[in-house]
Amino acid sequence: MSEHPGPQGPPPEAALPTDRRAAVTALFHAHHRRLVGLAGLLVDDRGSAEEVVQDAFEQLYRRWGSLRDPQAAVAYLDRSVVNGSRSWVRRRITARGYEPPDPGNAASAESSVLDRERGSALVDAVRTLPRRQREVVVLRYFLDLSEAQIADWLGISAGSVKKHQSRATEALQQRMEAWA
Amino acid sequence: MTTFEQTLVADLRAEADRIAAGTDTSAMRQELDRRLDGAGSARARRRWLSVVAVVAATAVVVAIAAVAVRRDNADVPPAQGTGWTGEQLYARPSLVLPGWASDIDPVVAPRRIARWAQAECGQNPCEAGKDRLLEVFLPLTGWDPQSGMSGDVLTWVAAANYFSELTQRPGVVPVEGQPFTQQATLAAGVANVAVITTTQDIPGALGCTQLASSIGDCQSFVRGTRNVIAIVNAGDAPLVVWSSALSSSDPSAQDAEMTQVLSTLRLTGVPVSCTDSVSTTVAQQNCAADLWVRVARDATRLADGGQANQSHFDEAVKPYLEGDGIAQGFAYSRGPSDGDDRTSTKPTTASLTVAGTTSEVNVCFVGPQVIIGEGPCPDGSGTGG
Repeated sequence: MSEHPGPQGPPPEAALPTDRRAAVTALFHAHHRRLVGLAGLLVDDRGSAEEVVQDAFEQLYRRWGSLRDPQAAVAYLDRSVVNGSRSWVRRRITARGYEPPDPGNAASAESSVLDRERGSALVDAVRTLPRRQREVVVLRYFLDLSEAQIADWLGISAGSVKKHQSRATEALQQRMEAWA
Repeated sequence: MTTFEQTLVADLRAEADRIAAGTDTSAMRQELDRRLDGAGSARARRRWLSVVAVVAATAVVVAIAAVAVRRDNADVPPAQGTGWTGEQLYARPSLVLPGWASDIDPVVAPRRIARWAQAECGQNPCEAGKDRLLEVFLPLTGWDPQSGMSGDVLTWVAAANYFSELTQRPGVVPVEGQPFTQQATLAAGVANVAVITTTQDIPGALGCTQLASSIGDCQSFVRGTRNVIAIVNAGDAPLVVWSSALSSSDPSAQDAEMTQVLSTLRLTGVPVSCTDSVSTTVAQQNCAADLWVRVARDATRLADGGQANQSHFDEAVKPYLEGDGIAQGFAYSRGPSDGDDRTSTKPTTASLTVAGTTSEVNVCFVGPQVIIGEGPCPDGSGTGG
């Protein structure tokens, strides 16, 4: 099992090595898998998730000198992965001009069964949410961020966060009831 | 928190675990090391360049002042773009970027894609002035819209049909009489170039970056764009240089931009060329060595970051042996294998006979790499099948 941020967010880092490279490497060992999981919830394939996480660590390394508090590096990584995942999704939509078909609508009965074996039906439903709702759900329920933090990270108002969260949970519950 | 929300939290965590469980942390660590090495060099280079820039700027100011005294109407030299080398890409392409891309950090997917795109526009297609895109792309396979799957591995021979297949797709309109067709670049060989406009989105038209790709791993055309596409032989594999802009943009500016990119393109990671006209013993020996370099590179590419195995080697060697090119006059055999177990990572041997002389090499599977050489395999290669 990989580590999780838990209800109070990521655990505080033990003293990081003073050398930049060693510090980033230590953070990589401690958080890489969790971050791939986070990115994987926001993008649709593991390869892209791994790319996003690599980018985040490289960015952290480049900007290490400008971090005011190296202990805040984990929060920096989390945010960087969220931003990177969102950019990746946007690039797919705008530059490639094509969005992969909605698996909730396109999958055959057989592949649906496989999907449910692979992950939960609820997670499948999360993947079919509109992009912004999905982001809010992952930030709220996986990263355990507050509405104010989500608003800050996504650059939207707290009211919008509340609205997206409410619509998302309502849609998810309806989907689950329909499946039941 | 409601019961439903608690379930949601648990399921998201389980899904994140499932995703993370499939990741090869060791390979990712190696990849990160490579990136950090690159970032370290770039920092040193920037520091050095900033010193040089200050000196150069001072010199330029002095020179301009001196020239201004003598000539009131001196010509301004054309602006030079920024040089870029794709260290993480196959064939290590280097080129001079157009001015608009010089300040953009490219999105680099290791080994296969480097992309410079102007600011996100949020709509499809983008509005004028925010639409330019330059991409260096090494497609591994084509995309077959009929089957909804990625097709065969693209070799250079297969790439000869790249344009004809591309232009047959619905919505693609090839533009005739454009200036680039068959333009010779200076150091990257001949570039086959086509100018194409599109009237609809065409998912996957440009090819895919992985075997057994999903459509998300493939590059697509966006409707309403003008695309200048150059295909260059990157050592028997196609390298695509792709410039895209809105159809309503100034075509001459886009053409000029592509001319610059192509004329400065260099491929420094391509093996020595090996042709089918091998007549001397030395040439034959070089050609054989070159073949193994190419096969090792292709097999590593086919492994795609996962554990390399005998099937990757077999797949990589096949196009060379079955084609009409360098395979002529050669005899080939493969050493012991594990029966039908093509996923075996047990080291094997392969031999090539050229003009009656046989050379045998060892084929080793070291993580994602296929290593071919005359020496023993490195420790830790293979698992014994």
